[in-house]
Amino acid sequence: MEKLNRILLIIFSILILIFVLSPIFVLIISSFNESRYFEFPPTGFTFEWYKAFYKSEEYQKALLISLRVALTAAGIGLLAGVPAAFALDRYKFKGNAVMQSIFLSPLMLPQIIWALGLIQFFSIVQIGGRSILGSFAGIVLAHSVIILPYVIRMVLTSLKYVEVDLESAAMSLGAKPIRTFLEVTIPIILPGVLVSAVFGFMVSFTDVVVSSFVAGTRYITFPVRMYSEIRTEGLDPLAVTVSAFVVIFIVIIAMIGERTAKWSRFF
Amino acid sequence: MQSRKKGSLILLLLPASLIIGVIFLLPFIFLLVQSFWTYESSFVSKPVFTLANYAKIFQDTYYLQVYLRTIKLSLISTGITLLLSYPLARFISRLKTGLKGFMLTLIALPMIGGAMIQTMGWMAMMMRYGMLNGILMGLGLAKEPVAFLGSELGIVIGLVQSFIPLMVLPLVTSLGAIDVTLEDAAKSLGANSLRTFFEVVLPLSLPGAAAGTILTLMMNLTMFVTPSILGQNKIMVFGTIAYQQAISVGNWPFASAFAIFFIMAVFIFAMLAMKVTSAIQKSTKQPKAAAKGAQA
Repeated sequence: MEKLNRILLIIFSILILIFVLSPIFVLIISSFNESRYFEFPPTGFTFEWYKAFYKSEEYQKALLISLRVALTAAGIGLLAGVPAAFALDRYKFKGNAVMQSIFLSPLMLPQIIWALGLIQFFSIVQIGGRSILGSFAGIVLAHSVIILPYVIRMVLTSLKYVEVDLESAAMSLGAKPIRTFLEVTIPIILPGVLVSAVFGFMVSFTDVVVSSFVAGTRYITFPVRMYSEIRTEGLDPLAVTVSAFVVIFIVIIAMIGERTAKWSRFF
Repeated sequence: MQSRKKGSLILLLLPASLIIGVIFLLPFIFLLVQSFWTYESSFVSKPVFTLANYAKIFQDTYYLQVYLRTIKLSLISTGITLLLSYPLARFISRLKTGLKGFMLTLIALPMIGGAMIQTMGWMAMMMRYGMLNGILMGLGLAKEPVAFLGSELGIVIGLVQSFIPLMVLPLVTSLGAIDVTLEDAAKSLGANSLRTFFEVVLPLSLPGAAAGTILTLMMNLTMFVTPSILGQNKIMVFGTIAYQQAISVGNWPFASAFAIFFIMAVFIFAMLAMKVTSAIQKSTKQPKAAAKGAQA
């Protein structure tokens, strides 16, 4: 009876796992499927779509825009998030808990409602006579908001692993707070910081909700391009192949992240 | 020294506070104000106070139906997500560290991959001759291709898959924190595994389940990409109407009122849900104490 329960649980869990990962499998399979109509079982194996992707300047441009946005936004997320997480963890002050939940609130509050307000705010903010709505700066700022809470949460988690004793030991040996921070604290929290940077990058790179609101016509990121294309022209194998390419990239990064930094402990 | 410490604290918190305060919180005020402004023409509104945008929600039943459909689909999806996530989370929480990390990494892939990638995968699968119909007809479960695209069924399938990770992660955390000896104690006292689960494991994992459920429900209620693509514009929900009004029609005052009314309803709903969970938790405290006593 006990054993039967256990086997049932394992089978059920594997089925759910397959269900959760099925869109990813299907994208990868479809990118090699000869059929234009995503027939299953696949009608034949082909590299045709990858060749088309290699030639498609449009998609490569969209990927490059996404890359630029994600790198810049992740950079801002780190620069703002790491010091904030450090302050929240190490300083006891009034309102610490409240501040922490405000910083993490973008994870809980619906993005689409915020995005509705954001376009209204951006439409009146001008830089050099042009509205920030639809500009590179606008997208990057919006993305830094989605990245920031992840950075703060993950760095907070990694700071919990640092023993405050180590820091006070360094300081009692004469190291200044700055030096202690650079030489003791940073090396220990580095895995968490790196994981949060990679995670933040991915969240920005694959975001479609916020981007589809703030993106104008000049900076169309890769997911937004996919979204508008699918809505107007339906699903085509080239779009699927570009997504499969991104998925393969994400899976590789995730595996490296888990193997080297055990990144799941920061989730 | 004290003021220097205060100075560095402010300096450390400043960049993040600016980003969250200006880019995240301030837009909600814009949203609220805009919802009382007067719509003139596409993307043009004037700052004249009106309640017309809120009144428009109730003018005919269309928008109310959209709200109700959104709530219905969200409750169904969240319920199924919770049911499917529990066993999986239970399984993962009992794995050894290395394997557990690997499984969590796999489970989190859809979260990192984003809504667009999941939805594209589902669209390919749900095509007339796609994988789902291929399997159904191959097994003889369906004679003709099922029209998943443009149906509520298709949307629910897509939503459940997308949000299982959000539910599993907090569940694994709270299930993993349960002392195994508690379960052993219950079993050694003669409880079978079903009873152990319902009287020991389930009550102790409620905080994680509540956190996951509230988050998943929020996400479902404001879903946008999944219903937009898998619903093929045939099934309109809150998110798709909000996008349509804001981006295609350009009626920002109405889009704002439509969103504010909904978020208010959602918050009241969430408060009620939290009240109910805490009431349940209070009433199930006893088995925990009993199991603790048995352990001693």
